[in-house]
Amino acid sequence: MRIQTRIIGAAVLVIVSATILFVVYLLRTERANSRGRLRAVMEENETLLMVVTAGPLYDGNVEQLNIALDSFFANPDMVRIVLTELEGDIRISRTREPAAQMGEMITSRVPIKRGIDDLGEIEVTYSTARLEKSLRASRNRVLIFSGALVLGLSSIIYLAVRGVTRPIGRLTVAARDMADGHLEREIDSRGAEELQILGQSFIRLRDTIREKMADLAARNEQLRISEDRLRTVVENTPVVLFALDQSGRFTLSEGKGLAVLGLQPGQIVGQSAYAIYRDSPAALDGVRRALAGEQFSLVAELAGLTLEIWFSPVRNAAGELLGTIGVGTDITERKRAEAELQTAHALLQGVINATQDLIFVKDTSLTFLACNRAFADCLGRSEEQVVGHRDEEWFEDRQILESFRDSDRKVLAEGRQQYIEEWVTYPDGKRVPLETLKSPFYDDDGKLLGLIGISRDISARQRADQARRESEERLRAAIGVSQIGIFDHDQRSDTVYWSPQQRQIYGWGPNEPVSLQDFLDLVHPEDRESVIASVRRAHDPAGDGIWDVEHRIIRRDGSTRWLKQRAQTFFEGTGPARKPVRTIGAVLDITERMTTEEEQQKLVSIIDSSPDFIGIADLGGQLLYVNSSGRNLVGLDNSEEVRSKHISDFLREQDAVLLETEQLPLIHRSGGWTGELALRNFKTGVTIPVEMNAFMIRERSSGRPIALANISRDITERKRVQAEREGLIGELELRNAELERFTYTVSHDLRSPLITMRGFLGYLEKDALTGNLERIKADIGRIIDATDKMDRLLRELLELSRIGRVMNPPEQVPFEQIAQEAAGLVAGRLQERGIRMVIATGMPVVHGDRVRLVEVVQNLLDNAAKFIGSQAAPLIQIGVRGEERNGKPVFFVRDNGIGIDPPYQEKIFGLFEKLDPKSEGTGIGLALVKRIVEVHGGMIWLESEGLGGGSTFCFTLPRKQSAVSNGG
Amino acid sequence: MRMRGEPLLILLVEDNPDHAELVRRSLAEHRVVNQIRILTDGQSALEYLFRRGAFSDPASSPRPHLVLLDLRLPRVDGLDVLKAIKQDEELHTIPVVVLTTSETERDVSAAYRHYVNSYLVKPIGYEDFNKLMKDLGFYWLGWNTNPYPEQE
Repeated sequence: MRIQTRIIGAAVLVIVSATILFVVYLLRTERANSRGRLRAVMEENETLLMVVTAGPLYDGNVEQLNIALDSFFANPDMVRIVLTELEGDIRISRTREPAAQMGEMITSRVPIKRGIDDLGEIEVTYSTARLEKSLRASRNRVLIFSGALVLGLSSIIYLAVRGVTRPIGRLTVAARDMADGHLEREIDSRGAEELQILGQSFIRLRDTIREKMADLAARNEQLRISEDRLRTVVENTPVVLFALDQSGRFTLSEGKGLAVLGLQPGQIVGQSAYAIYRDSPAALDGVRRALAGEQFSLVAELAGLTLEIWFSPVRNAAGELLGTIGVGTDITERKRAEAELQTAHALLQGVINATQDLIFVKDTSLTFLACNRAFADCLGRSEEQVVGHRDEEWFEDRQILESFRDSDRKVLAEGRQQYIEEWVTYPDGKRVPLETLKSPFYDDDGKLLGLIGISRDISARQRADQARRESEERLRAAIGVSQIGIFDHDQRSDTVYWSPQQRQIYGWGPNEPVSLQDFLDLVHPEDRESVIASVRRAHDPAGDGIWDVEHRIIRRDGSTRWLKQRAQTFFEGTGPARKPVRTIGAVLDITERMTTEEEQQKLVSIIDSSPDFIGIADLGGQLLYVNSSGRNLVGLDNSEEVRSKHISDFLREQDAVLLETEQLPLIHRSGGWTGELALRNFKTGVTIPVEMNAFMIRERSSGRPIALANISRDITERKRVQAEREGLIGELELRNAELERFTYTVSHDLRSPLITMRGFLGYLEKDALTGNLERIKADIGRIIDATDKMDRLLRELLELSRIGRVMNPPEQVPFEQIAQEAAGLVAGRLQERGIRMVIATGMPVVHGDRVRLVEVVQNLLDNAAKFIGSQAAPLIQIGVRGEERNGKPVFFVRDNGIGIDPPYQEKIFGLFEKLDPKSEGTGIGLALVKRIVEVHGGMIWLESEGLGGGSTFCFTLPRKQSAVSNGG
Repeated sequence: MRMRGEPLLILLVEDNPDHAELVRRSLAEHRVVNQIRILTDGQSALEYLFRRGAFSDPASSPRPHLVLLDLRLPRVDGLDVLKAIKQDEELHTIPVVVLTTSETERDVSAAYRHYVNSYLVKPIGYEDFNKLMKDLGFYWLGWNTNPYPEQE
């Protein structure tokens, strides 16, 4: 009700205020409007007055002026109007009483002008009385209207408010009730349409709230049930469930596992985990990591137990870390079981690995799952390298692989064990017989997992089997095939049994009776005595009864056979009563063998007496036999020494390598090798050149190589002769070349002076005709020179040709003596040029043609003097070098003259070679020297450091007693 | 054809001074040559042609129009001189005539193998020698068209 009153009061107040304001406004506007209108009239009148009056005033037309003023003065609001001429001649006025004693007077002055001249002035006064009067009347009307308006409006508001507030009141009450929890409160929603909608919304709201509450209650119930269930689980499972807040304090500690730790559920809630776990670094570390937000598990030792604890961070919706939840499980028992299992496994593995058998496991795809060491070893790899792989990665032999796969598939397909015996070639090439047992294996549910195989190398067993078989075969062969005869002699009945072979050997008929006497008669007369003696020995009761002899028989057809007999005599009785009762024996015809041996013996003696080295070695090169000539050649004393040697011991190191790498392989390949080699004598160390024919000895029947043999011939003599011949041929070739060179140069150099002579003779004739005496003289000089030169050339050539052909008998001369003699011959020339000469003392004694050797030194001295140049202190030295060359002393003639450029050092010894065309001489001197030295078996060469460096001619000569080659 | 009046130069390499004199005299008699240069061994011939040593100044070693070469020469053999000339890019166009006492097949074929232009054996006897020199001069320096001198 209060709201209602207030609303109405407020509304009325608003209406009254608005009305008052409206009225005031209206009035004010009205007044302003009336004044405005008045002023507008006044302004209009002023202008009109000026216009209307100006003309008449200027003209002085008073009448006109009066009419004008009257017309203006008709306006009731005008109370006075006065027109005054400037000069004061005309003054017209009108006056009237105002309509009422109210309002005010308003006066305006209007100047009257014509052009720019002021003519006069009109003064007009207005009264507002009339305006005021009409204004007052309208104010009253407004007031009345306003009052009526206020009254009307107020009434309307009152009525309206009364209609609205009644339903709102009811709604308010209902809402208040609902808020107080009285959701059953009904709402009377009569009233305005909007209010009705509002009411209905309230009802819907209430219904929704009711549903939500019911839902919440149901959920709460479920939560309670699940929590109960969880708690039951946690309390009854051997785990520890706990939660920690960020400070590390326990907010939860539940689970049956707590009992093992000696804790009650919830006992440690509120305590710090850092404090409780201070003795377990692992647990402390875990707590720290967990509170850092990590999710993980760890194994910690707590109170003597092994706990595996899972940590998981707890976060709120915003992702902030609130703490951690942990679940701990006691895994002490599990750990122990695991350790036991490992021990057991290791034990098993040890056993599996220790066995020699090959054990392997394959899955159904035939990939290796496991194997033992023995198996892996066979494949030449480690166990880890086997697992995960398959047979085909190692075995290349398709046949073996097929066989493996077949048996594997059979095991897997039929689920039965398989026993296989087969030869297997391992990857390393080894081939062994394997006995393999393959079995399928299953898991607990009976599902086929793969197969287990155990293989055993049965080569030893197979070998034994084979050996037994072979020995049996041999025995059968020996008896059946080979010609062994069997005899049986019963002494008590003195009967003799001969087997068919025995009869054949003896040339005895199949059914012919035979006696001991027959047997003895057949023995070769030369052997009979010893055979009888041996039979007696075998029959002696004191002996062992064994008869073992080789002897000859002469069969009835006259042929001789060699036999080997072996028999055993059996005895009965003791002491003096002991006597032979039976002899059983076998006989073998060894004629062939004996013959072969005889032949072999013959062969050996032939080989042994051969002058060639004949040796036999086994395939490895170890010597078996060397004949006596061979032993002599290499210095071996006996066969024992021979057998201690290897082929390579006979050879020089480089030859032994060749033998190993080239010749032996060649012999193996092609059966033989022939070539020259050098053998070493063990005693003297001297190597002997041999021509060796090495070959392979093969078994006649199979062609299998059994030994190496070689026949080597000492070719020392042949080599020497060959070398000598080659030397002679070489020398001959050298001589030939020399001769060719000789004739060539001779033809050239002998021709030269002839051309000169004939040429200048021609000019001589001409000059004689012209009488040119000077030229005649010069030309004759040239001709004479040319003849001289030719003469010298011929003499020296003759000389040169004599060397080596005509020699004085060689003698022993001290070289110093030769040098002195030569120096004496050239002394004059040396003195002429002021050359000093130094000859060394105590030089070796040489062996040769004294005259020629002097010639050598003389020529060298001449040559040195010729090329001494403009030396200030010319010097020539003759001496001997400290070291020898080719076992001969090296003599030298050294000068300090102009020297010789290296390119010409070889040339200077050539026939007719002259370095300086202007120098005297024929160019034969040094060629001569060279020839003499070489004829004496020496050599000559030049040493010079080039131009200006002087020259040293070095040459070797044989010492005394040494033979002069070709020096006859 | 060569212009008359142009100086013609023969390089004679000859170790025998008498033979050199004979050649010089014969050529002078027939006025086929203005200039003859005589060198007495192979090495100085090479030095002259390759302008080395004493002949390093080109003014002192003008290019010859013909080389007369003896084969047996001291130091460097005539055949080696021939080889050097014929192997040289610049010199190998110069005509080389061997003038020697040797008529062995070995020398002749060796010379031709190394591109000698002509091979002459010194005749014994004045008339022959003189005639040879005359013909030689007329042929090589008269009738023969020499290679045009290369730009130097």
